[in-house]
Amino acid sequence: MPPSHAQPPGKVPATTDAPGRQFRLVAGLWRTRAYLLPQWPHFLAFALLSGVGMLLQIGTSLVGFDLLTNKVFLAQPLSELQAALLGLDAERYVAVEEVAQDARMTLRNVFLGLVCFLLALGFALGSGLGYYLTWILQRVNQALRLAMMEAAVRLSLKEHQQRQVGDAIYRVYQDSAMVTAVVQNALVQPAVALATLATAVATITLFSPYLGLLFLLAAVPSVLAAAVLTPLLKRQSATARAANSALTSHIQESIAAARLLKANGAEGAAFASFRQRSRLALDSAYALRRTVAVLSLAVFLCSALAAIGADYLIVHWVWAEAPTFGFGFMAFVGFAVWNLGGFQAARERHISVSAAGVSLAAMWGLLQDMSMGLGRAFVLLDLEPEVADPPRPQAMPAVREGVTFENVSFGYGEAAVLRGVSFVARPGTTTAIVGASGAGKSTLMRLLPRLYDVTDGAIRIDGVDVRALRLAELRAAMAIVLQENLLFPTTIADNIRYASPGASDAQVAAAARASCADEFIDALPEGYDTPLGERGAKLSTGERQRISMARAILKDMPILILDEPTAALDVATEQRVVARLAAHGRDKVTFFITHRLATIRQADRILFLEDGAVAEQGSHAELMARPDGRYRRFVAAEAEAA
Amino acid sequence: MTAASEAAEARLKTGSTPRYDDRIDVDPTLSAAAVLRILWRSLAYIWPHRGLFGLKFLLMMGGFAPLLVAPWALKILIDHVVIQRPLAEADVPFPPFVAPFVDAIAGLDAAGVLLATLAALAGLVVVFGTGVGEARGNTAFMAQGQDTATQSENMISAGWSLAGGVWGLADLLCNIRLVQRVTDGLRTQLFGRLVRLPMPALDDQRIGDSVYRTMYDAPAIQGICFDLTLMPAVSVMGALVSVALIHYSYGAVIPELVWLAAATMPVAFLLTAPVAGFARRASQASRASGTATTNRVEADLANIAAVQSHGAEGRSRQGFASASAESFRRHRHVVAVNIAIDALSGLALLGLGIWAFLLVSERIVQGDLLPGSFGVVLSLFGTVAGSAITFGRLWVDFQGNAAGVRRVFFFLDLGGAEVDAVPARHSSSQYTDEASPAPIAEIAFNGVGFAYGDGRQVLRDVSFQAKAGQLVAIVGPTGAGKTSLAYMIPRFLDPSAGRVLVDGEDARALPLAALRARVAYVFQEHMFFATSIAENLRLGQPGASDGELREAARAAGAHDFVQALPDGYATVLGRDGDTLSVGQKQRLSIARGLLRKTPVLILDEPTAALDPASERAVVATLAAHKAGRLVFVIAHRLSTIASADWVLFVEDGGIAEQGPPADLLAASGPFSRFVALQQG
Repeated sequence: MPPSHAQPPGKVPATTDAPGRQFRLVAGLWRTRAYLLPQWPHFLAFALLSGVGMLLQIGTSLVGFDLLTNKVFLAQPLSELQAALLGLDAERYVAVEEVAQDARMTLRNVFLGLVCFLLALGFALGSGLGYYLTWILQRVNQALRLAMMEAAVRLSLKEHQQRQVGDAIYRVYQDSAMVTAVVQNALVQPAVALATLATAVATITLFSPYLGLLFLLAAVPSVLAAAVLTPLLKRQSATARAANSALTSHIQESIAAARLLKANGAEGAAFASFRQRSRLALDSAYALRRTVAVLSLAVFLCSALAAIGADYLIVHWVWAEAPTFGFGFMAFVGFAVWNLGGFQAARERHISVSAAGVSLAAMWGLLQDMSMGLGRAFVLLDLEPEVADPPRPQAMPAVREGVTFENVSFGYGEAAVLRGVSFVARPGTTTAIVGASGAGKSTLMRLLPRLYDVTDGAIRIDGVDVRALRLAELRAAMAIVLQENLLFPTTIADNIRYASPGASDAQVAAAARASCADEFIDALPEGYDTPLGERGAKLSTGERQRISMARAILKDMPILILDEPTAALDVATEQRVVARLAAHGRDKVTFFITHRLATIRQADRILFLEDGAVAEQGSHAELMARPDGRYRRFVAAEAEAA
Repeated sequence: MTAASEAAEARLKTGSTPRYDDRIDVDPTLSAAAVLRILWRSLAYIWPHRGLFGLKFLLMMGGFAPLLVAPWALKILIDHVVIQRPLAEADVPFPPFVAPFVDAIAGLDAAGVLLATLAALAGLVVVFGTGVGEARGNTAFMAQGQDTATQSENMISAGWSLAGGVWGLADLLCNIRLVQRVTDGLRTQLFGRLVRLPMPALDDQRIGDSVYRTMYDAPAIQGICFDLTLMPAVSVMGALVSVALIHYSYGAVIPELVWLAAATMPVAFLLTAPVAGFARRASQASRASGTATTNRVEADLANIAAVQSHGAEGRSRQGFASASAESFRRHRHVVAVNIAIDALSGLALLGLGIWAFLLVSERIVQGDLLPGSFGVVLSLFGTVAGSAITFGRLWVDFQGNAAGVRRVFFFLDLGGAEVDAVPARHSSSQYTDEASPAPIAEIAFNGVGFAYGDGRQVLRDVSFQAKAGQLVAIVGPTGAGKTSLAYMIPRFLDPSAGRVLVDGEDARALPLAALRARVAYVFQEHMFFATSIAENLRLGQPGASDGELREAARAAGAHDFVQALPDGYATVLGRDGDTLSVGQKQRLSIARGLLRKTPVLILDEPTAALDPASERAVVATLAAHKAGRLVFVIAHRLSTIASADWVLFVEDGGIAEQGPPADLLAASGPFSRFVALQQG
């Protein structure tokens, strides 16, 4: 069969995102709107509460430094407004040269009360908001994870064959989490940091526009540093994520094939490979973080050195008792002229600016990382399932006339697997599909439930093209036993019930009897409640086949497809199963892929496939009547082998 | 009691504990004593990286010094520059490490003192990142999600430093490397253990769980190592030095302040320690539910054909939705518990802080202290309180990390490890020579029986002898125990009764690796890696030449279809080789077994999915390969059986008949009846 990179034109190849795929952050945010918008009342509430918190903090800081430093420590008189607001006696606090010692002690207690109240409020607000944000973001992440899982489950088998399970795990888990990280780091935190920065610069400018200018100048080299380092950050992030994804895939594959490793003594090789991948993942994570740290440090140094320059200016202004720029407003908080309290309050804002600058730089690094992560998450979401519902589906027919294959062809890319297959299967008949290994038997049967779509021709049920039907209804109308017995790591009963969740225990047991699975289930200590291992490990292949068959029997649908269901059964068991299936399938369209002569012989019609095309078809007797027929030769070979 | 019933029992007993997907690790409760044991054991993982650890310790301690210096520079700015009190009239003595600087600038005027102090601050900023605002350590956290799993990525490469600036950068980078190495050590060990789990345990182990433990649980080790070594050291030292400084400068003015500061640490610890249990349980639950979510993804994607063909996409989505919602909910519990703990210790320390504020502000108002002292005391007290909170949280933080590491240690400790049960009596070099494995002349089963942990008796009293040069067919009805019997030879299973003898010696006495190097096993299910066909074939024989590769593929009837692929042997397979038909996979599996050229070759139903012509070719190949080696085939088809030298007819776990096929057919016993049925 052709390799994975032979893709039908017009489809997004599944694995093109690994190297060099660029992802636009703005576009990414736009993409996330479907997951963000439903939460808008919460985001709004969060923003309002955060704004209140920020104003509280700045107000407290300005008023606090004035009251404590200028008034309590340095005994300067209060303004009339301050005294009135705090309910203090104007004679003792305003109309004096210097506030008396006992009055300052009272003022200190008032200050303490005020600060305690605001601290308690701020703490409650901060903690509550932290928890609230987690809650909101989890809701967003849940919605995205679901969408991804849904997309992954709906992708056609052809697409699934080309990706690794571990890779999907990593995407659903780590990469989808980036959506909430985007919200947190690209929207919430930058908004908070920018608001902090803006209010701090505004406050500083109220003290003096020169100071504002100083910090604007400091921003220039910071932005330059970010611009220079961004391409590097992007590259490193992409590498780190790809490396971690490869590591996850490696774990998944190794554990899934652990028996194989054991049998080949290849545990050591798998281990060495893990070690190498793990190192690679760690090294790339390290490189990324180093760049982020360097960028943060550069921004910090710019703003911190600017703050020290500001200290120099302010001290000189305090000495000169120079008026502050916005003295009209600043008088309100006690800083009409530069004084010690003003020095401290301004300094506090400088620290704020520096902190906000550094966190913006760190966030910039995060943004690059997130945009890479989101790019990977959206690749999975963006894959349009090749097999999809038609825009206006027709009603599912009752399967009265049967199933018609009309000149059906199928191939991966250029290589044809099936060529011009035509036949009719009526209800109440069994069609045996026979042929050499690799003739296309399983592929033919996978076209009916649209696990793949035909590349040419059509499959019709009661004359209706299966592509015109709703996928869910189509698949609901057939019971399928696949060649590879796919069991889930749940209990035996749950596995049998998989396709018909509402079935009672009695129905489950009846289905197990019909497939002769009861013979070994009853012998198990926990019976139907026996939990199976991964992929049904712990059962023999024959036992797994019979559980798969019980699952199909329980579903009881008009179309029954059996893909070599009895290959691992001994003949006695097989004959019992076939007899019971025949009784079960009396009114159904039954398809049977098999090598076993005894089973083939009982079919109403035999479809002998060779190289993807129907070489002969007819009943056993008809085909055997052809003197040098291919089927006849096949039977001779089979009989000799059996 | 068996493992499975024990698991069931445990679920019943812990009725209130939600049942997650764990099959093997069913009892996640952790006592305080167990936490201590885990802590102790985690320390061992630092030892291999002691050099890096020592460097981190020095960098961290060095980063501590500027925290103590910066507040005094600010005090000089306030008291001696802004309000221009001469340095000689300082209210309290400067600590010894600041005094020389003060002496040096004592002669300068206010403008000179300002310049000198700002220059010193600028130096502190560049080197240590402190001097403007509180000390700002460097961190390098990258984006993370909202539950334990998605945050683990940051934990693996966690970085923080006490100081900022250039020193802090060095500290941070050293930190990240150290954390990565420690985590890598543990997760590599875990992975090695998981791929070597004994067969019955592997059947029970969920794949998603393995991914979760390796990727998301293992990083917890670094948290433990830090919290156990560096954090207590730095927080205790920080608190002690700060208390000493308060005593040195302010002990004479406000003696109570010293006692207050000293009380901070024990108060914080006593308040937070009792709630550690909540934190531990919340973390356990969060991790277990995260595992359940990973398992869902894995199971549904791995069985995608079954999901789709049964139209179960909707249910798959629903199941994942509830598992994922649960893991988010449990993580919110972790967040809530942490907030509560922070609130508790925060409030207590706030009380002590207010007390200190009252003491200091009173002295400033009274004129005993200058306003600049307020900042110094506040900052020193802040260091003590910060250290106290860190120290108090240590025990709480251990809980979450211990919960993660326990999940890792569980598998490292899991019993039934695949080790050489009996000490090897041979020098291993005799067997590990990959190029030419020592021959095996005879394999004999001596009264071998086997029962699974849950009591299912699979084999009873199996005895036979097989010699090199023979093709032995293992025949019997479905579920008779054929595969279990074959599993005994490379010791995928060990007999619970009797012995398997390899050249007369108990198989358990041979070094395991040496035994398996001499036995190739082709499984009934076909497993492939998402690598090239050539790499898949070379799995057990990495050194095989291209010629040998082709020869094996030709013998297995795989060469022709591989050649027909555009990329030939370099074709990269999809997941589980899904792009190939079952018959093609079967042939590749056989080629993989043949390539190893081992003295013993076992094929489990190698021809079930092959048409008669391909089957004949494979059987002819096997017959050609049996010269000098021992080939076992589990088979149903008479043509395969007929070309065997010896038939073991297995029924109900025992050998019902054995002998050359012709003799058995003539004997008209159970074997001939079975064969008659096959021919229908």
